Amino acid sequence: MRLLRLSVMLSAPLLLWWVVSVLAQEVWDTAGATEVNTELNLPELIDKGRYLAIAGDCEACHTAPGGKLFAGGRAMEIPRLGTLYSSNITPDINVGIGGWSLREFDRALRRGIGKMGRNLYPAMPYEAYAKITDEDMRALYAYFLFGVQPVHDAVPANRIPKPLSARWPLKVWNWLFVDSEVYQPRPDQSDEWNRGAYLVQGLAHCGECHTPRGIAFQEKAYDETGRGFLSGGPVLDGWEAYNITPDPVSGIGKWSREQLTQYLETGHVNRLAQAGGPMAEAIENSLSKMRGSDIAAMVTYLRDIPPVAGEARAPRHQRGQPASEVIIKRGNPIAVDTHPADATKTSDGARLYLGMCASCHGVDGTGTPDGYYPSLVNNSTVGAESDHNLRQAVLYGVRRTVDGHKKMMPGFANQLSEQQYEKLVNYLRRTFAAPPGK
Amino acid sequence: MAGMEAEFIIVGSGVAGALVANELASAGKSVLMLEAGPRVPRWQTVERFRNQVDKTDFMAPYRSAPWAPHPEYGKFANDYLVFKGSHKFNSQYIRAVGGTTWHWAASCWRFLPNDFKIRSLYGVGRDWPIEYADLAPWYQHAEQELGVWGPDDEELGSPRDRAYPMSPLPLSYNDAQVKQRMNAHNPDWRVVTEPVARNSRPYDDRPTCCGNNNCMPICPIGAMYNGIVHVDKAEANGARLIENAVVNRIVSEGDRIVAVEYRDSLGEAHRIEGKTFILAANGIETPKLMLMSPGRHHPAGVGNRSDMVGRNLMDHPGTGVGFYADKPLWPGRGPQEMTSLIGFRDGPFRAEYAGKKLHLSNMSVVERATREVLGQNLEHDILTLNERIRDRAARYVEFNSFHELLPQPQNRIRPSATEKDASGIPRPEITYSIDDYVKKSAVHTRENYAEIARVMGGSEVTFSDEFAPNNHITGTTIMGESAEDSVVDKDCRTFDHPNLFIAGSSVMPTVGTANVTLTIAALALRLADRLIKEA
Amino acid sequence: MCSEGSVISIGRRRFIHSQLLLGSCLFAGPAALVNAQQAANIDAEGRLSKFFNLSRKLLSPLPLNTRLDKRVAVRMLAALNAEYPHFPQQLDVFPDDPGGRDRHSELARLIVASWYTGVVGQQLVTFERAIMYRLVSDVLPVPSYCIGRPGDWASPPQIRFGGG
Repeated sequence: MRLLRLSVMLSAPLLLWWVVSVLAQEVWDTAGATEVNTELNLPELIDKGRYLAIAGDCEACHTAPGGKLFAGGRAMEIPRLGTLYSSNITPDINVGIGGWSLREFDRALRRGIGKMGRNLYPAMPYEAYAKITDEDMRALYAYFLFGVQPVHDAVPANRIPKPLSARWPLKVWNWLFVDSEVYQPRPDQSDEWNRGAYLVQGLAHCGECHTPRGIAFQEKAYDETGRGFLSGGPVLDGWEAYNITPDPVSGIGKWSREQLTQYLETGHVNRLAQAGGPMAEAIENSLSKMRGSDIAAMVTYLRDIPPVAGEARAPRHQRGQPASEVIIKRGNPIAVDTHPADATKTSDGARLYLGMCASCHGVDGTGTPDGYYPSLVNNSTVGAESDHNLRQAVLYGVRRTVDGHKKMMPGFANQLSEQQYEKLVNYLRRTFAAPPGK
Repeated sequence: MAGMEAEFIIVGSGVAGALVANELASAGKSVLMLEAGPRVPRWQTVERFRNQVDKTDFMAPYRSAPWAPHPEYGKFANDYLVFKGSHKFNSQYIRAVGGTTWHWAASCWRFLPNDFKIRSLYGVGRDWPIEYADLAPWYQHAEQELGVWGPDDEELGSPRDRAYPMSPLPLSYNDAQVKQRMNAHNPDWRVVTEPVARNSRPYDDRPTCCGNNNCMPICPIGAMYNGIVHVDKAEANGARLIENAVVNRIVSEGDRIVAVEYRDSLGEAHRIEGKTFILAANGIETPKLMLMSPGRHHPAGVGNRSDMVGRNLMDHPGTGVGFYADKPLWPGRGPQEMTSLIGFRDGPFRAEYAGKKLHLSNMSVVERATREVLGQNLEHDILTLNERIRDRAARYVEFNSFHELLPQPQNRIRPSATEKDASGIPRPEITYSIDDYVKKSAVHTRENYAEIARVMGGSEVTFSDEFAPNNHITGTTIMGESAEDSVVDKDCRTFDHPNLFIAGSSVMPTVGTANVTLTIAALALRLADRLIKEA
Repeated sequence: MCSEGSVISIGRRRFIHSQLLLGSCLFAGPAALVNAQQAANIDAEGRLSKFFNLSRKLLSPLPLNTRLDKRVAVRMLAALNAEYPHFPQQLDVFPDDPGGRDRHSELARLIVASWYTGVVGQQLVTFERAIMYRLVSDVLPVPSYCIGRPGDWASPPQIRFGGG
């Protein structure tokens, strides 16, 4: 009994302090200026903001597929929560942010607080955007309020079951896990390094996908001082973001500067890596359109963060051997799938590879000589520890448009039975993800 | 609809049947397709082709199912077609889900406005009961559905009010060189970029053409359109398809069609009832089926009170030329066909002889060159051998042609009275001859071939004067104004049966002067529109 | 794109033996029942070696980036043995290092034609690795295989091998 009273006594001030601070925040949030900051309607600021919006890839979430720019309505499946729809962030007065002040805009981006003081779900990477400088924030505001075409379309309501749809737990979540402040340059690092850190941690929000998550789905680290920063994220929408620390085996430590630069600018480095899924989008919408100096800065930073070792025993881009089953199979009858339901009569993985994949990826899996159709040997997607991304590519394909050129690998979900799919994936892994030097 | 499998029953799942099925299914109608042949996965055809010894046999990867034979020649000859008349109608087609467009070169031409009225203009053939303007919007729609690239900067003679769905990928070096030299020499030849159902960018979830030079017999990557695209779409939109269903009888009560009967791969008989029936089984199998289905109301066969079913069989008889140009061109880079000479499609001469299209081949001839050089049995060292093969492969030029055969009632297909296939179904007996209208045109073509060879500095000029089939099997359920001399009306409804329609090349009153698939597609989409409006 | 090297891994011996036995069955007649397996093995290995080395000589110089693959050689030899009943004997008496006349003999031509076309009689042994496609691989795709970026076919061919 005494112990209980003691513990209550000790924790009460803590509890009180917590309640007061939350309430204070609440008051602070709902107060504040609500008028549009028209003084920021300046062409150079808008242009700067346009570029920063590209760097921040706002389009990725706030433009629905085939939808109008920044008009929202894109569905996002959040694990353990439900379906969110991104908001309309065009300057429409009624359904967009047309009536927002700089303060409200700033609050939304840095602290995830919406117009009426409601917390935004951390699908909005506010913990990363918190790093954005005030100057850049003003430019972004100028662009969104004065440089974007207003769109009057309302977005669908989120589909999240009650009681998960209550917002107040987000305040707790934020208090527990989010600790981001405006980026502070490190005096011991170069300007380029700091610029890269600023972009990677902030606008480009790489950690959103590439940093592991904790039990409450929070990112485990927000910068290079946190353990595990950019060492690989969870599977989102079927796609997995890899360890991009400089670890030579589990990360991208063996990539050259040139290779990493080319990857970020085009999404395609033959015999190394090609971006698919959400990373292809990030490159298409954002990274491929950024200044060379900014990409160089990000590359400098990424090559200097602490390496984090994982489970891999060989770098994922240095696996695989050229295939040669064609030598045996060519001219010999195909085991025809007379009984697609009978796995023993389903054509084997090697034959499926030849018939479905080899035309582009080469009879031996090394792609075309010009690298346009990439090699599956020495391919970071094919050789990764887990085969999530390989499976996604096989089923749904890869699409990426850079500099107006549309690259596309079709998906094969419609052409493969369950058994064929497993046989093909097994074959691909056996052959093109084989440990090096086999 | 008690007892009915579906409201709309479609016999045949080639491009015509599949387009109709997809339009109907997308409009929420209940649709059942019956396909005589099997489902064939693309990858299997690709590997079969790579496995086969004779790579010039484009039909070898498509072996017939025993219960649904289609004509096979050469090594696997099955004597399916019975030939009568002075010329063999030795055409090819594929009885499988997706039909014959598994294996084509994707040429997608609109008819010229004059193609619809050669009787009025030139006193030959027949007029269509519709005009170019009637079909133009459907041509556009068909180009969208198939995914056609075409030259918006060239006048091909068929008026259009909208751009092609895609702009073309660049011409192969071979095509560009030949085009440039020929047009410079004789602009009246009008060598143009050919409109084709091939992706110059990702389109319809299908990839861009990569130039693997294998369009015929099969595009390994689906960058070229195949009828299977609309079979897949139709099924995704709720249409059903039963494969290995050989329809062998159309059942009627009075003038209404009430059912079709088919046998499955085991020979078991089935009956399918429906409300509206569409035959889309190609220019040979559709009339054959109709003629195999007599009834009291139509003793000469379904839809045949005019006695025109199976008659007016047409194709584009083709001649060719091959020679070795004066410099390397390297055919075999890019798609197999990219340009055509269209200067002879139309003109007053059509009163005397056939209009036609000529086209350059861009198919790889490495194997041909290799066998030729090896076969010379000369005492070459390896370096000389390689040099010769490369030289032959690089300089070979080949042109082929399509001549417009006119509709003639005596050219016909009938079910054979005596010859039957493995399932006991009569084999198609074809009576065919090629007349002077075409022969005279072929002489003119040959003169132009010689001129082309001269322009290209050609040596070893070899003419293929014997007419080859081009598998544009048309006319056998002919469209017209009157029930007296036609099988279907301008809506593709049979005159004799209010609920029986026909889709496909068999309704075309003339075969025109270019490939027919786009016209088939346009007519199919137009038919589907009519069916939806009526239902 | 390189052909594989000529080294066979241990695991493939069984395959080679079965293929060679197929071919050498015509040679190992009834008199060779005793130790047939062993004798046949030794003969089969020897014949393959001869065929492979002879092929290399007859086809030399191979196109750039092309090496004969011993596994293709195994299948090629088996097909030749099956298609031409006298092939094994003719191969046995053929000189290891043929001179001018021998190089243009019927047997030599047959071997060259088989490798060039990839076809022996009615048996297709190789398609992708047929020498005829290797010798134009600087310019042309093997049919059904993509060769590079869409539209690159418009440029004048970049000749790397002699001729054309």
